[in-house]
Amino acid sequence: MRWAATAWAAVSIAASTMPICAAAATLRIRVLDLAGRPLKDAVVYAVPDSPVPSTKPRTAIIDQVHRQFAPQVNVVQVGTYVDFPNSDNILHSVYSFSPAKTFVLRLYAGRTEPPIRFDKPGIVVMGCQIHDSMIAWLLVVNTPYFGKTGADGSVVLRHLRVGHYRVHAWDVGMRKASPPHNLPIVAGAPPRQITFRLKAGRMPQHGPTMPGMSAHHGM
Amino acid sequence: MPIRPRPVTGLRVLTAVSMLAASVSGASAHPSLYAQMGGTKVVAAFVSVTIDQVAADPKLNQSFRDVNLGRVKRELTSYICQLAGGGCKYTGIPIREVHANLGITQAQFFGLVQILRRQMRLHHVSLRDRNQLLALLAPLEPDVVDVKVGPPPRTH
Ligand code: HEM
Ligand SMILES: [Cu+2]
Repeated sequence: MRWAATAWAAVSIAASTMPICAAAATLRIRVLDLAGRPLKDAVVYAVPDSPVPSTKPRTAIIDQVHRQFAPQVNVVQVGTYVDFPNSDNILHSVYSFSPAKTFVLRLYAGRTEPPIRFDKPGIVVMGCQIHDSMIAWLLVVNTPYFGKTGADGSVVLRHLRVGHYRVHAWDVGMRKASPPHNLPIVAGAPPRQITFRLKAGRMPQHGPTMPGMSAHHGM
Repeated sequence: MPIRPRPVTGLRVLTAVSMLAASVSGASAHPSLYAQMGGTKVVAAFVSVTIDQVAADPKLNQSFRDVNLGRVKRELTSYICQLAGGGCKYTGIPIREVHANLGITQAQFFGLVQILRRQMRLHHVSLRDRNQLLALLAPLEPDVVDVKVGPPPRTH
């Protein structure tokens, strides 16, 4: 890893033990850094203990625009297809060496490639073999309940069924998601809020390092 | 006239397929152009300086924004090795695909060639070898200059 490896650093503030209202509950999650500032584009997801009913696989889009990925931070459920449409219409060569999914995808000008299916949970870091500037993250999570925080550091997860959940938060630069915040959702309680405090990682300036493909590898 | 690497025939097969045998021993009656230029050590060196200079030249470098120069140097060296009979197998991206829609002008093409020519000379490549390599590169101009490819048909 070229950027400072930052582990999660504590603390999910325990919410009240009040039961949550209705069979389909709403959960507001805030993600702050250690100084209490809201973290934008942090990923949160709530994994239920009971298996999630399977749905038809979806397709998400990670575009290539002005030699950047858009969006840079992404989250999908396991089994989702991701399309890389390449709006730049110059060559990009997207790759990942992450254990959750290893691939190289040549996006030639004037061609489309079939979407890639992400079938294992984990953090996928993507770069471009051609352009040092390009980096993107994709969290592949084992649940349909996920989201990305807005500028105020918060996000709302809706329609959570009754059950026990492990809620995690993740921000760019973290090797893995935070430890779980355990959350029971029972019938008949008001919506509620939980807060994560993360040691925020610095945005790296370059794509992921891979053997023999370092951007600064001279001849 | 483009000069092709000599055809590999008969008893010379064993030595010709081995780039090392040709470039290190120099014993072959017909060392490849690549070996004559000094092999990977010399070619990688003049390619590296050439790419650095092109990427630093405001008149030439518009296509190089954010580009991983290490990769271009490595792949271009390997491409030249293959082209000049050095025995490499180029595994990079086809030349036309790489340069498509980069908007490279003819002037920029000759700008690069100019720098390459000078760097070969500074790396003690003989005039004859310089001309041979440039003759091999010249036919690639249509695959580099102003290659326009339309947007893909939308499928989703
Ligand atoms: C005969 C001339 C040329 C040859 C043989 C050549 C060959 C190559 C090769 C082998 C690569 C790397 C392919 C890969 O990454 O797999 C490359 C990339 C590149 N070349 Fe050239 N090139 C030539 C001329 C030029 C010129 C004149 C320019 C611009 C002034 C240029 C700009 C670039 C750029 C910007 C890249 C990296 C972008 C990308 O790979 O999409 N090239 N070239
Ligand atoms: Cu790219």
